[in-house]
Amino acid sequence: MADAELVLKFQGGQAEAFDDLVRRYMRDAFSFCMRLTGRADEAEELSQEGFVTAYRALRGFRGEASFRSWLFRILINRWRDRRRSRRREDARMELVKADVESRGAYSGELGELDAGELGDVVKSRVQDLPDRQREVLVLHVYHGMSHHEVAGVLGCSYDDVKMNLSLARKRLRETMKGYL
Amino acid sequence: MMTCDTARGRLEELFDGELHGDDAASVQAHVHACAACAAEIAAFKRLEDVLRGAPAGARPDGERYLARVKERTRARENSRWTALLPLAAAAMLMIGLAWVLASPTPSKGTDISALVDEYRTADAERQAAIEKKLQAGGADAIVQLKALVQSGLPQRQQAAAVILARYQDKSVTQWLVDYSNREPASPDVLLLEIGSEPSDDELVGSAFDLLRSSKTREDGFSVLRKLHKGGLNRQAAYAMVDRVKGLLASPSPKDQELGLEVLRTVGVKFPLPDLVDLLDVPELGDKAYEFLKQQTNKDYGRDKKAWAEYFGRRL
Repeated sequence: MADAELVLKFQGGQAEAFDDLVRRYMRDAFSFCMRLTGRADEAEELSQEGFVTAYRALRGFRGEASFRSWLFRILINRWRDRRRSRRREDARMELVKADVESRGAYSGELGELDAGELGDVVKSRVQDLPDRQREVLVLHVYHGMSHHEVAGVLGCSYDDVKMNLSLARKRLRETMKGYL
Repeated sequence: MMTCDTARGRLEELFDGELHGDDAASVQAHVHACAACAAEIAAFKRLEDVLRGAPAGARPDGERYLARVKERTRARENSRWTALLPLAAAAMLMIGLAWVLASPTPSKGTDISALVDEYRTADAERQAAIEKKLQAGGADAIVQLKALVQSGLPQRQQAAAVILARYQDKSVTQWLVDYSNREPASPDVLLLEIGSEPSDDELVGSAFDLLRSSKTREDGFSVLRKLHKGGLNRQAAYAMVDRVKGLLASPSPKDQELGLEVLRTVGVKFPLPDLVDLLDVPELGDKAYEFLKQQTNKDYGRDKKAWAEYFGRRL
């Protein structure tokens, strides 16, 4: 069943249609949050918060974008909220420290963590990108969105996407020189 | 044949599949004939392969994940309505619309729950009609609405609070605020709700109106920050950008300063090229320059032409 159909069902009062949307997009949402945060526990919490927000806002969803883009927009907003709060608390260093300590430590019920060296390097370098560059890169490379789709999710222009993607690549080529 | 300089600027678009038709064909033809550009494409490919080869690291456990989402949703639903009360009061104060009382009115003793339920999913026109109808119901309707705020389904409580806020009646507003203060709610509930409401763009307009007076300026910024933080719907985001553009384009230095202040404090996503025009405006140039530098990680000083070239724009 198409997303739009599930959305209409939900808006018509069939709450279980939302479960299908969660099942359909939980992996996408989780992996997106994982790429942004670098932490499985945080990715789970963030992506679930995104679904909670989506549940509450879905009645007002007017289909201007696809459900997927809309969901990603919510996730981005939630993530930015978190980042802003953390910056205000000047806790970034603590976060980095916690991140390093948590690598490989989280198991929860989320399955296996990647232990490959190159994988860790990639994650770490992607984490080091400025926020906007990271957002653009993750949406484009890992979620296969076109520049226009990314612009829609992030609420910016096509040129912004192009510029930030280019900057991200340039930076990664420099910081991962020995691995390419 | 396309030159290397021209092709270089389009290689990434070609690699990303963003070029089509003749554009794609001409850049592609150049790449076939140019070893340096072909190497550049190959480098993009290597990077992409390495990036894609790194798994996200973990996968959610399906049914447990879904159960957690449901649990969180239920918890949030139970607390959301109290969070909306301050918004409802603020919306009433800011929008300041003069509602005209109209008949027919609900007669004394009529159960208004059905109207309140309908209000939740109605379009703006129908909502306005319901508000008028209930307002014409006088004190009896107010008593019933207050009762719905205090008990019943969370969605109904929320709708009743919004309707009460539209009364523009000081004592009703005060009652809402007092009630809300008795049960303070998490601010992010309130903010996220604002972002998903269709009336966001109205609130944006009202918030900008508040910015005009020094007495209410801080309130205006506060509302804008909350709106922005909540994830504006597209219409409201456009409204915000339009308002900032209007301020920046105004001949009044005070307006321009205010526009920059909104950009700095609210963090609204704004088309940066529009700021280039301000670089040589006395007193504002420095601020515009700092903002451009911070947002782009580039530094072309106060050179409007260089910035314009960077943004690929004609002055």
